[in-house]
Amino acid sequence: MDTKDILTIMLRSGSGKAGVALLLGIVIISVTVVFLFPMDFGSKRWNNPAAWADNPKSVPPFWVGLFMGNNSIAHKVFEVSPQETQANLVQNYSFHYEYNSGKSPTFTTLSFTDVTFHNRPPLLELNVVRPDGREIVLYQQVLRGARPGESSPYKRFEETPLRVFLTSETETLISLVSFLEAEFDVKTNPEALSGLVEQVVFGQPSHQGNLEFVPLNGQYDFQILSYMNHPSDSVGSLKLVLGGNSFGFMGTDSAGRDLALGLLFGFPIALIIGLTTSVFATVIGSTLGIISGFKGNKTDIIIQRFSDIWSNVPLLPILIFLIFILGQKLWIVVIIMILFGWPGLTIVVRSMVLQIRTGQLVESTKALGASNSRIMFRHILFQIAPFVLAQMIFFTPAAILAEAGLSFLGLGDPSIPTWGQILESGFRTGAVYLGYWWWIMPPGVLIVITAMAFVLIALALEPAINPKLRVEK
Amino acid sequence: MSKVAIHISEPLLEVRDLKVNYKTPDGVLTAVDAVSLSVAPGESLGIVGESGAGKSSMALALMRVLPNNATMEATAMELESLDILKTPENTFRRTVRWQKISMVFQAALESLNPVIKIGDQVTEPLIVHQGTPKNMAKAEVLRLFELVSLPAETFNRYPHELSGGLKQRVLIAMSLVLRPRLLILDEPTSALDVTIQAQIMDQLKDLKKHLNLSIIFVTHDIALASDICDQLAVMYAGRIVETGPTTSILNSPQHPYTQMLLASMPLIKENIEPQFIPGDPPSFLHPPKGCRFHPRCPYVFEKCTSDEPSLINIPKHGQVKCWLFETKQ
Amino acid sequence: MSLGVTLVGRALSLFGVLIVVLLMLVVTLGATGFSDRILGAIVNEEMRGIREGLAQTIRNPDELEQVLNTQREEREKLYGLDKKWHQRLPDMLWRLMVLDLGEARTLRSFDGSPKVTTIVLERLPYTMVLITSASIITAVAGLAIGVKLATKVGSKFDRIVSYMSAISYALPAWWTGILFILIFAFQLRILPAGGIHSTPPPEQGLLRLIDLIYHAILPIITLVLVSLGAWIYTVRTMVLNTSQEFFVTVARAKGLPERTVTLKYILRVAAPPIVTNLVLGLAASLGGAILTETVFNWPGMGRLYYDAILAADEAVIVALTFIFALLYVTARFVLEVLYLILDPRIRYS
Repeated sequence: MDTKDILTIMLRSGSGKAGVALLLGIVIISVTVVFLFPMDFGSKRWNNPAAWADNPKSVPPFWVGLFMGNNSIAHKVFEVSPQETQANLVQNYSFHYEYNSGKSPTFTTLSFTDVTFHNRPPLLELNVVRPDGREIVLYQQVLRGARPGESSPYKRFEETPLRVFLTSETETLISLVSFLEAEFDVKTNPEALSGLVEQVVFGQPSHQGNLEFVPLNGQYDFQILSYMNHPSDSVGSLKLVLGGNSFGFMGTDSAGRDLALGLLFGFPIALIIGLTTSVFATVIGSTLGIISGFKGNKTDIIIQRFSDIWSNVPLLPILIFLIFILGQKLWIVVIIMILFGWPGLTIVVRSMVLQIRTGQLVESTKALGASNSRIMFRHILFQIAPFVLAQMIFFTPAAILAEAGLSFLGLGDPSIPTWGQILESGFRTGAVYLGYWWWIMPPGVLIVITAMAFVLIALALEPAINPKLRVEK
Repeated sequence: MSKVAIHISEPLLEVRDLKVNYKTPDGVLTAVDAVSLSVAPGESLGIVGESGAGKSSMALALMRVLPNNATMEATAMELESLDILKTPENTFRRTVRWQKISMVFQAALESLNPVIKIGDQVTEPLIVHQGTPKNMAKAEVLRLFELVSLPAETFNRYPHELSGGLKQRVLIAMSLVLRPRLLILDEPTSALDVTIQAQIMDQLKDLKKHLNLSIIFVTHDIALASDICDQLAVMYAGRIVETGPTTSILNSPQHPYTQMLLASMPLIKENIEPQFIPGDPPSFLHPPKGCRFHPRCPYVFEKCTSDEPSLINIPKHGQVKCWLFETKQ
Repeated sequence: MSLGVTLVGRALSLFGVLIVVLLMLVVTLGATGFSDRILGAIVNEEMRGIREGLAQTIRNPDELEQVLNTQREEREKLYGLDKKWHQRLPDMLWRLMVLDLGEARTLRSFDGSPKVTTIVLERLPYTMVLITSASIITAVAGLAIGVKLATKVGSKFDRIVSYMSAISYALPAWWTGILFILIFAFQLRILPAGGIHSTPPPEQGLLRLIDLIYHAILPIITLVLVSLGAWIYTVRTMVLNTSQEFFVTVARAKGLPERTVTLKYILRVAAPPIVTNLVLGLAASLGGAILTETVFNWPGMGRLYYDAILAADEAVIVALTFIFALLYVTARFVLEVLYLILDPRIRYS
């Protein structure tokens, strides 16, 4: 049987077609991800809380928002790049926000980067004009001046931006207290308004004088002003975030991480784990099997005894044990899985080789004077190739599942996010109990689909390997 | 279609137009195609053909033990006025299998259950079908063992402890425990070496005489068949191509295939080189059009490649399925 | 007689397996310095307590240091830290062999005992309730359905089960468990999400048992569902391979009832590989299922092993590994005996 026959038999069955289609999809996504994602995505992005600070935490995907109607509030980010300082020494940015929802934004943040000043620091201000024409100053702050020993020009927030969390900013609360008193005759204090910032800014009191608010829909004009003291003073990029209650294609976790990115990154990782493990385990397993079956005698007994014991070592406990001792590194996980993955194949390949060895082909080749290793690897390998291939495909999901299980126990490689790790953080932080299905379901579904792709292909290959089953279909 | 041979007495087995189809992933193949035959009481019929001619399928069909992917049909299939086709499965199992028809299978090595003792396997039909007590069944079986020259201790052995020849004898003994009317022998000796083959053939001839058995002897070896059979039927690619009394077929084979089959046999007495039949047996999936033998036939002419011949009666001989005889008629 | 010799030979070689497994474990612990690190940590911890105690009575710092140093040396000797790991090793193995499992460093039994034997014996029944009963249910159902299926090869039912087994191979039990918790415990609210008892647990014995079973339902369903497909498929394939043997056709031709054919000619012959799966599966089930027990917060053997590793509790890790190996070796021996009964070809060769 040659490769073409195998392919024909495989593609004849529905499961073969489904498996190949799934695998093709996974490979395409993986290749795309490898090209688009930075190599250090895990450490620099995924596990860097600052990278996700402006995202809403633990919210479902945006398309869930489409079904929430008036209760949905979209996540909004306004970002501008630096501008020339005007002649009057003021930098002025404005954003228009069309607000039409029954919910107010979940949080508000304002960030500045790259502030440069030459003598006195600039004054930063954020104000908003509401649809009802009322104006609120949400934030007003003079940056800290020169530090002792520092010389002009002074540079601030080059690496990490100044991030103001307006939702709990005291300045803002105080400003809102005076706003409410002046405009709605509501007397209150900053403590009472804590947690109500967005409701106040984007609403009005439902009754005169109380602290319940109804949303005020319409256009909000935000304005950010930087008052400079020197013509070459400048403020870099600015970012205003109005938190939503849904985000991205797959939602976010409790750290605000965009789950879609983590899930995408999981594709190539799963493939690499599965394929590396299965290829090496298969090569080792079948080589030892051929040697064992072909050499016979002591070599055979030693290899067989060893594989027999080795094949019964349960993979997960040994993985946990060794990873705990040797450290949480993905390559160590893969090596351990290779080391413990080959023996089953060795046993089967040996028995196949024993059958073939008595066959005429090898006998006649021997008579023609071919060397031992030549016989082994040319003829025997050629005959067991379809079986070995199927075993390799069948072993791939086992490796993917084992790594997922290990990660789920919190023993994954922290620098490389995998589906198992996403599940682990969800389970550990109680996402199951809070009903955060978008955090728990997709990684599991992806693990199952990826494993399924390989299992389906292996299933379709079965008739190619076991002709007994071919007649039956 | 007419009968295979004319008999004076009422036939024991009468089969008309038997067809056996196998469903495979590559399509449906017809292993037995419109085969008609009949066997009279005490008579023996030999079915001869190359391996893969559909002989074994026919034997299995007679006992209705074809594999799951096979189906059979026939216009008539009667055993002593019992309709083999229409009898309900349960009745057929209890009254016909092994009681009326039994069989000695080709693959002696694989015909016995490896984990059950020989004795238990041979007594089993007696116990299941006739409710014979164990000890009586054992006595009966030991008597049969003697008949086929099997040592009594074989009774307590496992199959893997026996040689091929002994296993074949066990199968013969087992086929006789219920004293069936019809015994089908499917290549009973092909796996054995020549001396044991001769011994077993002698025993079979004895048994036939003693027990007044009707026998269907399926083999690829026409000489072996002629040794024991009164009538012969030659099969090619699932069809019977020639039938008639053994002597006439041996002495004056009519069908080109039969002629070549006989010529291919090594004869020790006469100093003639055996002739090989050129070409391969046809594929059952894509059989040749017209006469199925035409690609290998030395006398092939135009009609052979397009139309299928029917069985033609040859007086004082039998029947032949060949266009060569159409004009002679 | 020769039968006995064969069995003794197998028993000896299995004992060898046990020793090899333990050696590998101990060498791993020793050669990586893990063992020394753990023991060192224990000594340091004890020394801190002693220092605090002595500091009250001995005022002179030099004198204190001297007393502490002798104390440390005594402790290091007590734990065997003065010797290299390979010198400590034989003693440790010997204690295991006489079933002295020792005391845990940090893990405790439910009533606070540090004895490893007590801890293990406490966890074992819980694992049996969950994992072993799930294995038995799977095996029985798998056998029944698998045999049935082998007679219907190629049917729609057969195809469905083939796909089911493929899915069950790709479906991790732990994730399925999470999914079921999400559905049955939090959406439908009909089954508990985890743990072994309600809070507070019922006092009365029978109610307590019922409560335990109530908590075991979801994990058992999970385990059975994800492993049943593969079991059915294995049984089906083995039965199918045997039912295509020629002696099965012969048995049918003999007019034997289908029941007899299935039992005596198919199952009886296909039994050894099925029994192998069954026995090894049952033995493995006693070791618990780390992930499933974690998901369902079930204090079984698997969870104990995981906790022992995270707590770096060497005594428990070594003891559990020994128990797992012992279980495996015992199961293999049981199998050797079963093979002799089931297959006459082995008996006489």
